[in-house]
Amino acid sequence: MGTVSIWPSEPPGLAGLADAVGERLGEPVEVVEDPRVSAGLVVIVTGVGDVGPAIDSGASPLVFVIGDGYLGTDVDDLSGGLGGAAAVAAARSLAVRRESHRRANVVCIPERFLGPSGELRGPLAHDIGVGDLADAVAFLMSDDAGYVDGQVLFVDGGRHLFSSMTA
Amino acid sequence: MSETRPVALVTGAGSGIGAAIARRLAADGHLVAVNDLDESRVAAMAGEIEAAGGSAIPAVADVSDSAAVDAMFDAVEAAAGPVEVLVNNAGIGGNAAIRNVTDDFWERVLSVDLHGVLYCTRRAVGPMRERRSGSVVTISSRAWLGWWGQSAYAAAKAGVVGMTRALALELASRNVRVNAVAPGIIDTPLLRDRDPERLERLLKSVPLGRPGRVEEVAAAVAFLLRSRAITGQLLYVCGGKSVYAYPDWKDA
Repeated sequence: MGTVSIWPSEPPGLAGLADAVGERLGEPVEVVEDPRVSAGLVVIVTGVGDVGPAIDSGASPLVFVIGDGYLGTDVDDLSGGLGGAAAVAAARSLAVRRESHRRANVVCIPERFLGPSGELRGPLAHDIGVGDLADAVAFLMSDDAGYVDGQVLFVDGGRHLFSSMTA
Repeated sequence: MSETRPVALVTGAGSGIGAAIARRLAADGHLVAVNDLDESRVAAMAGEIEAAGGSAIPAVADVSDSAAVDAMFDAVEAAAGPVEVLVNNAGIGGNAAIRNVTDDFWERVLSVDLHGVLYCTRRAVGPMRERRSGSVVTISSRAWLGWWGQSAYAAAKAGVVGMTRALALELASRNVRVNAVAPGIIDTPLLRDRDPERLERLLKSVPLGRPGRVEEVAAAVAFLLRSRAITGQLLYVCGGKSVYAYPDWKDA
């Protein structure tokens, strides 16, 4: 598969993500400053500005990690939601490209993971952790997901079920 | 019978996508209860799994018959222990323009593709709730979004999406997860029987430009089964077809 990297940063709520993804893929994964150095890229989206450089990086497969603000969950901070919406649009557009096709998907997590605190519950009665996110990212990066393209995986204990944008 | 292997019941496991799911779950360490309507297919698949070093037991039943489904679960539980995993895969296709959608046709499609999912899921989740552990994956279809000639099939496959989302919420506090996979065009014997010209036209609606492999559907099912933080998810395995499937694809 080649090198998988994380860009542009690992927020405090996602501390340990690079190591956890690397463990699952069986190869080291690092946080990089330049998204163009990777074959496969995990993009941690905290605003619209993160999406363009990820597209321009040429990386494939691409996995955008976004908060669930784009579903309309957070009225105080619109920037996270706008970044998430941009990432979903980008993944879908890349997935339908015939020329210079890149496999691109999204993992959606509760918005607060992108801030200082990661622990959270959805309808499922147990906490969601960075390991759960790493499982989803590693799956989408792997050949097991070779026919999964342009999709959004919700790693949120079922919180997305309260939104119409999730089927 | 190995007591360490959690039991996974896979419906419609005698061929195609269901067979690939049964093989994958056996390889992942499940004891697979192989369901199909066809007794000889069940015996062949169970034999194949055992020959490959896995564990399997036969579970012949028509999923559209609720009494037969209950009896099948009773027999599987008696032979192998609690059913930890249910994969609702059994289904029948149905292509008909609306003028040909008779009451009989509609009922035949819905009885297997929607009612069958209810009967198996209802019976499976009872003990799962009690044990506070279990996982269900139902095979829907990208076609629920709509396609020519698919009114009955789309209604059934949309029905299981709604059922999945409702049950995911209903059973979450009991640690029972309920998810769905929506395949697009998958390379099965059924697909290979199609008129090559029609198939080529159909594949133009797939951005990846190829049909999916049954193993790729099975891998998505296996992923959802092991993902403890995911419930109510509808995961398309469709090569991007669900994103935008305009059939006269300009770049094709």
